[in-house]
Amino acid sequence: MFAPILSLVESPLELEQGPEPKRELLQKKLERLREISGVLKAPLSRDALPFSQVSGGIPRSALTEVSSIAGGGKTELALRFIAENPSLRVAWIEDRLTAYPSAFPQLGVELSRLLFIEGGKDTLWAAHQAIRSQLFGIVVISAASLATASSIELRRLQLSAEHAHCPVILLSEKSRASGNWPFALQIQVPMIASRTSRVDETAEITVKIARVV
Amino acid sequence: MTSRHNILCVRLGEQTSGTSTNTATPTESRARSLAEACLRLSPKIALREDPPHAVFLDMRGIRFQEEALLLKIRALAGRFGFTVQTSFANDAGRAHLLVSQARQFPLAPLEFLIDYSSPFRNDPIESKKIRKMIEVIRQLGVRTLGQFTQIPTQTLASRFGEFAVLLSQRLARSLDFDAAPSNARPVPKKDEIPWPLFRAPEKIEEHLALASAEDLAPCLSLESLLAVAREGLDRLAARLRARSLRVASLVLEMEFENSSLLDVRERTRTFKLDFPTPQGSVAGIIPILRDRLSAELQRRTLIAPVMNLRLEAAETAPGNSAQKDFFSRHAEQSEQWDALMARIGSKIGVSGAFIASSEDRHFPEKTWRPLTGREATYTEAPLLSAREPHPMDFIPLRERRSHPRSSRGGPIRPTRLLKIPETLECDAILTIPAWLFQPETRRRWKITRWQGPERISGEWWLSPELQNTERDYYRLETESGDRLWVYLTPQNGTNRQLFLHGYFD
Repeated sequence: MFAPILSLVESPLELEQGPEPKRELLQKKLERLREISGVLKAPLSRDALPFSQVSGGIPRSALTEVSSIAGGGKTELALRFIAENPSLRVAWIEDRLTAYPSAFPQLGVELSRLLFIEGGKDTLWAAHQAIRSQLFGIVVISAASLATASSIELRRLQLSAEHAHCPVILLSEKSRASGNWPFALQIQVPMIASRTSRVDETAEITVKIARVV
Repeated sequence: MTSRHNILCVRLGEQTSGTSTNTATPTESRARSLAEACLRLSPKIALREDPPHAVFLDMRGIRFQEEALLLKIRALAGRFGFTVQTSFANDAGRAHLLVSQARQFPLAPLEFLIDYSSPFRNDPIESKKIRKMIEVIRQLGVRTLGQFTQIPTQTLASRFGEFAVLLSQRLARSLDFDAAPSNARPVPKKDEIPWPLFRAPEKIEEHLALASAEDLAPCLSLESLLAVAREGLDRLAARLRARSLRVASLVLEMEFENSSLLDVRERTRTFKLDFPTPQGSVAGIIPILRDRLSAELQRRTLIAPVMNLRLEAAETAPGNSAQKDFFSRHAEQSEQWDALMARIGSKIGVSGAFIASSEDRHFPEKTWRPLTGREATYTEAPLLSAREPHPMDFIPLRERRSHPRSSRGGPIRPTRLLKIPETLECDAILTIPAWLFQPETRRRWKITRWQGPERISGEWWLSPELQNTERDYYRLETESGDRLWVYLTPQNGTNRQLFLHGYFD
């Protein structure tokens, strides 16, 4: 019984067959199933960077949002992604730098391939400059101003990412509404209370995929 | 293929289409700039400053490929608004003659002796002497340069003097060179036409006289100003490259249209742009110039049309003149990197962008150092294939080690560190507190787990002030899910104080 349902969850292409109303109904139910399961099983797209925590990887040329409360593990998740793509140069952009570079090598990230930018009020401008330079394989942005950034500003970032063929990861404390259109992928990192890790552990982070385009 | 003819003459002609802004600079000035830019191809350059302008390159002792060299010359001349006619020969006079004349050198008419004898400038006195000589020898039935070389030297010496003998000998040697085997010795230097070596001016500057441009309107806006400046910068960059330099400080001077409404002091406006990272290309300079000018013009608009523009490389720094590696984008990316750092530096400040470097220090805030400006150089990213996640990555450390250490060794550090530790209040400082309170944010945490202490001693060996500075660090878990990094200080004092120093995000 489980096998066919799981295969439908994992391979939505099979929905191409069958009458229209049934397909729609099934589509909705599958969406719900995906939400419940919290894990999207999709093959790695050619236009995505591999990441063991997210099936299908992190899309290139697009915006990805990683959200959690402060201390929730979003920075660690971003660092793990960077560590799994060691050939890429990274721009790490914050409005007021709180990232602690000495912790990065502990998560397998070489400091020499990171450029830190403390942008202040010009963080978005700096992000655009870094993306457009086409020097970076990954751009990570963590700024309070992004929480209130309009869709137009996010769309601009998305266009820059698209032109530069560069994945842009936005770290935020509060997830925007699911289905915020400039994002290709929204990842929520659950609170530690729901995790099994302790402060002294590098534990597995279970993520919840809120939206995939 | 390397040519055995190694004097190159490049005759310059004005471009009739394309970059109209080049007409904003006098031809003489552009020809001088081009000659300077040619210094990257050969150290021995001569410039014919009389019309028609020509640049001579002595390629002796330099390995070059004729086709590649000509392509470079054409591209370079195009940047200065010139079309070119080129020819290689074994001496400057012949090269100059061959640019515009038929290749049948021995059959060329006698009038070409004038061009041959003084390729580097128009010499009216010598021209007059040669014309007189041509008139006489034509009566003897001599019509071509080949026939001229056949006249006995004694006859030439007695009738026309030393200059005619020298001219005949040079021509004869030049013709003999064609027939000689490829390993034949070149013309001795003492017999050559004296080479007026081109010397590059001390100041590297470009003038754009917009008022004299035929089809260019005076600049009234930022974009038109940048379009004009781009041409000047392009020439400036080519000249800098010839000297293996980069611009560290650029001066831009604008001269406005003369108007009675303008105060004399307002007729010129000067901007100075200091680049945190020296720039070697227009692509790097233009975005910075745009940002700077945009900000300046918002503050003070253009009060009148700009009629003249002057660009000067006020300060320079040594640049990399290495040949481009076709199979590597390192040089290109390095240039982009410098441009990015300079843009960020000019907008946010030099400390705005940095590479972190690990330091062998004890206090957490001192374990890294930002490398900014010229210290933050571009390095090739390691060309590693994407690492497959190791199964160990996802096994809780508790199962791997009993002691809380990172997978790379050393105690675990938080991913976020506060620049200034924040004071915390708690219910019991001498025993294990159950809750913490942050007075500034009025935030309260209930602690569910304490891990530690990890004692970090003061670096007393570096400074006596750091004597007795010890911190006991703890990793905390709170009921709300926060993971904090706090420390308690001093170790033996009565006023023990708790600080929030970072958090595990």
